[in-house]
Amino acid sequence: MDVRSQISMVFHLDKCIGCHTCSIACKNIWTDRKGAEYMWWNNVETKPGTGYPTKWEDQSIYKGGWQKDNGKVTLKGAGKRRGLTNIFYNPNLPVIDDYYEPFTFKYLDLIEAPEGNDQPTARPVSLITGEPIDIKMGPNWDDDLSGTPDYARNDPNLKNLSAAEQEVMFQLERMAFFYLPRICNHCLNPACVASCPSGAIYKRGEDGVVLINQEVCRAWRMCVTACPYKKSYYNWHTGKSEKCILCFPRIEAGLAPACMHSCVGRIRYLGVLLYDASKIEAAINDDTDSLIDRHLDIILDPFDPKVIRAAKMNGVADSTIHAAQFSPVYKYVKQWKLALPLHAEFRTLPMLFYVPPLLPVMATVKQVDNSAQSEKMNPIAKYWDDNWLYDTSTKDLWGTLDQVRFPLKYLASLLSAGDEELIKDKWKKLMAVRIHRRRVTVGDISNEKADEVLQEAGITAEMADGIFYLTALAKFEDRFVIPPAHREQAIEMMDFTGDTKGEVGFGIKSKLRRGL
Amino acid sequence: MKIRYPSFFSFIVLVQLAFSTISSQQKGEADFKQICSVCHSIGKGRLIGPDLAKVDQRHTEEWIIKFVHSSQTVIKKGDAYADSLFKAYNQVLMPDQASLTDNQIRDIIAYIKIGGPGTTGPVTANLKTDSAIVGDSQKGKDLFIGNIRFANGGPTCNSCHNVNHQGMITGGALAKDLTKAVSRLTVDGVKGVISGLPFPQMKQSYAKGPLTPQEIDDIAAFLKDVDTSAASQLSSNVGNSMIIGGALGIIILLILFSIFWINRKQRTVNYDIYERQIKSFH
Repeated sequence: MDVRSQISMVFHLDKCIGCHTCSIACKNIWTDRKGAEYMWWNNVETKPGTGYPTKWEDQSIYKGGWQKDNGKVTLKGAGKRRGLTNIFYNPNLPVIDDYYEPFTFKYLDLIEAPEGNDQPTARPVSLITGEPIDIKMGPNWDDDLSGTPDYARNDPNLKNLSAAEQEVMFQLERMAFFYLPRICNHCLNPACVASCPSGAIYKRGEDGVVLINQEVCRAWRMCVTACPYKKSYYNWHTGKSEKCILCFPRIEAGLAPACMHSCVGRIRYLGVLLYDASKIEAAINDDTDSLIDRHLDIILDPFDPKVIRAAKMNGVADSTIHAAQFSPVYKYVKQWKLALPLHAEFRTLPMLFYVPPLLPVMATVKQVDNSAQSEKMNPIAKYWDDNWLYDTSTKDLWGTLDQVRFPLKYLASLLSAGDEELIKDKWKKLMAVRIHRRRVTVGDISNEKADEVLQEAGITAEMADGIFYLTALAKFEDRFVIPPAHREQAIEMMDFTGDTKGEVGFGIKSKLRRGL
Repeated sequence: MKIRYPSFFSFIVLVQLAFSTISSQQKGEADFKQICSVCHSIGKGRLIGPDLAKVDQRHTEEWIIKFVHSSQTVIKKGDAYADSLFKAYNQVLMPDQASLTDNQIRDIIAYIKIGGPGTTGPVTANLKTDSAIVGDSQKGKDLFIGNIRFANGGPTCNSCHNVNHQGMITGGALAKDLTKAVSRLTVDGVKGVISGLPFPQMKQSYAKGPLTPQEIDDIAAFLKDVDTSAASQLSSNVGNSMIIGGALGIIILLILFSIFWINRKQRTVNYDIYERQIKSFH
């Protein structure tokens, strides 16, 4: 057993309202520099939709992630042979138009334009060329556009759905969407690290944050191709690649990352997971069907004395083990088994987990006779002659699950590598929690029925209350359990800190230039 | 006595004249042997340049001095005879002897007048028939391209000279192409040039490290081989075929590349959406 610790995350998709506050918080702190304007280390996508960069999930275009060839797992678009033969060409890179051309507006024209016959306007200009442009695309251009032919219907996750299933999905009455916020997954088997010819990318030992060393990066851009989530970006101004750093300076100071801290819906959870690094190789080589099970097997029980002993032998700090025991991520992922990794079939073992959204499946559309209702309406009011009802009643236990207006197959493609049962299992649990809480707070559901639901979902009333608490009531300290960083110990493993005594601090060996 | 004086005087003058002629002939002999004999004989037929016997009768002293100082200047001035000489002798350039003073040249002419070393020796009617080759052609080739160093450390021939011969890399373009050297100069002429160093640049290059007689023979033998096989060699002048071949090669490579990378991402995935949008800037 090779126990290590990883700062890991859970995003609760049911709570995301798609406000993009996380993206803005991140942009303001990290990517408002020249060359980084087009980067969104954190972005929020509407699903179904094509995302950012467009169709990033379609690895037949971008060749990201790992693939299993003759029983051996290799990088799809990079790696030794393919990487070396394409090192000066790198044919599968996204281009700026796959993201979008970043733009601003000439606001000063509004107040500085000379007097003329027309009112001055703020023309859009490219942040790359500085020339006026037609804005063709933005980082969330498909926002809320479910059902549109350009975006929703080009979602790569629809490829396993039949034409009829797709048609049903996008019928006006059934149409639904949800939001998918994405940051770097800080994977256990990161394709970007494996692909880098310069060895500039590394997974930080003490907390598993994947970082690009800007001094070593030589702009090969293999990581941009290799990352199946397209979360490594090339800065055309500095000539280096950049990616989400999980706000490590904030984490080291005990603060939640900016995107999580600012989250309006409080959908984000951050905590430590202990995992067994010796199981990684077997897990990534597993069949796709059992990939997620093997992934979750890697994560260890922080209460197990054996695990604690092995962790201490590996130099994991007591405070980190303690944080792991209170980790909201551990609860969601392992104890309650509610969260799933995004696109596990890329085999990077992402350490960001998603609680699948229940909202698109909560209700059904029923044919009803609305005439009696319409009769009662004031004659002045618009006569409502629709004969359907958005029905959220729960007469049948799982009735709505079987006639969901959002196909299971779609979510399974997104979150469970195609395993529909796994999604169904999460949905049942989420629904059971609601039914249980409705019994407690509203009281219109019988104990008998609520208990039956809980039993069938495989959770106890206590667990349901725990899920409810962490979902709906959790305070800041419950959502973010950040261990003290012990950065000094991590540095002392590699460098003698006396070398920089009296200098500018840990980690920076060259003297800073100060003054003008 | 009145008669004697002048006769005595004239005797003295005659003696003096005779002595001075003798001494000028001796000086002329030394210069001729050192400088001219590489290319010219006196009464023994043509070598690289013409036989100089009776040259004093063919040309004025003034003309000879000018020609020796700079033969090309004379030719360029439009002297038809000088031009025909140049052409008759395979256009081998006579090196300018600017360092010779007019008097030195006169001494040489005086030496030629008395017939040089004498015409008693057998006149080689046609020096184009070469003396027996004693050198080793293979060794000569090694010396020429520098596989073997010259014993006295002189520079390799092909740093300045080129020969077109099988399997040999192209030599320098600084001096004359030696492929047809033996045809132009004969084997003895070649040997003469290498040993006598009539050309200023050759002289400078080999003054401190002259070639040994064996090396000279080897190189002459090699050049003889080169000359005889010259007709069967591929021409080193490739003309336009290099450019055409290069262009064809690039086209073939581009075709191969586009086949090899046929599955590459050729344009943005948003292409269709972008193309459809109304443009206000072009």
